[in-house]
Amino acid sequence: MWIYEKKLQFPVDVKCKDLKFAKTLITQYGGPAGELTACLQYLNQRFTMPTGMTKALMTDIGTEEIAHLEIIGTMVSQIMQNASMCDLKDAGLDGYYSLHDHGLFYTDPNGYNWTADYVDGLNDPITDLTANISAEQKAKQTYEYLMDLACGDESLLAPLRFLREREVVHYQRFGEALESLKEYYGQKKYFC
Amino acid sequence: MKKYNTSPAACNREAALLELQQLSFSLVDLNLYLDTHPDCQQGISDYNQLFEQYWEAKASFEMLYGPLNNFGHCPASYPWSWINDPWPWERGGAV
Repeated sequence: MWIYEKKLQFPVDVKCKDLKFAKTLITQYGGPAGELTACLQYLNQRFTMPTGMTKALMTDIGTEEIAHLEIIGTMVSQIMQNASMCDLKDAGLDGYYSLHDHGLFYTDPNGYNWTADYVDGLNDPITDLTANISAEQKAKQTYEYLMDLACGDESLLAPLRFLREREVVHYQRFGEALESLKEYYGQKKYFC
Repeated sequence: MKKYNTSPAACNREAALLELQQLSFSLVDLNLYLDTHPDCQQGISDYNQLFEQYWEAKASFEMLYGPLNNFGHCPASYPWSWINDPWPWERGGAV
């Protein structure tokens, strides 16, 4: 089971009203390399992980990703909160508004809704850990693009920097787990 | 409706929450590190030291500002305060 804690993992207090940025940021909520994809991918892979270390790591990183999803949701929500109809239209969010008002939804900046097709899970532990390393690298890259688009706004940059750094740490931990699995199976069987 | 609550109580809440966020983040980061380094004695010792600080800070926060978990972590006061604002995604609650 899971326990909810009534606090964010990292403080968020977005000052800007840049709706175009909210539109791009939503990719980390419901886009292909977003936090929802990561969370569901890791938690799902737990069922076929062979060692205590890999079962624990999938559980713990998958759980942290839910906290990241909440940070992104909070950022998008705070930017959109009091947006006027004109501002929404100017940012190209009129279509979004017609479906979701000022609320959150699992979608990407181009209007593609989240799909389980984004999730990697062949359920071979070596293959899955390799996919996770790639997922973390993709998410780190996405955060760097988002930081470019944040136009120097510190209230956006601080949480984005934190989230980017977490991708780096997760990448590192997945890499260590992959090495441990190679050892677990016997190095000779694998050419990776 | 006030957008930013700048009363002393709210500022203290923010400071207390920030301390809690820092401590729990250190524990989460150590948690992941220890998953792949279960034999690191320094890591375990750091974890245990931070754990003590975290529980102390969490208990004093919950006594002043209400529970952070819906059950099982601190005794309930009357009336049931879990339902009280602010929630983490709201201004004044997110920080």
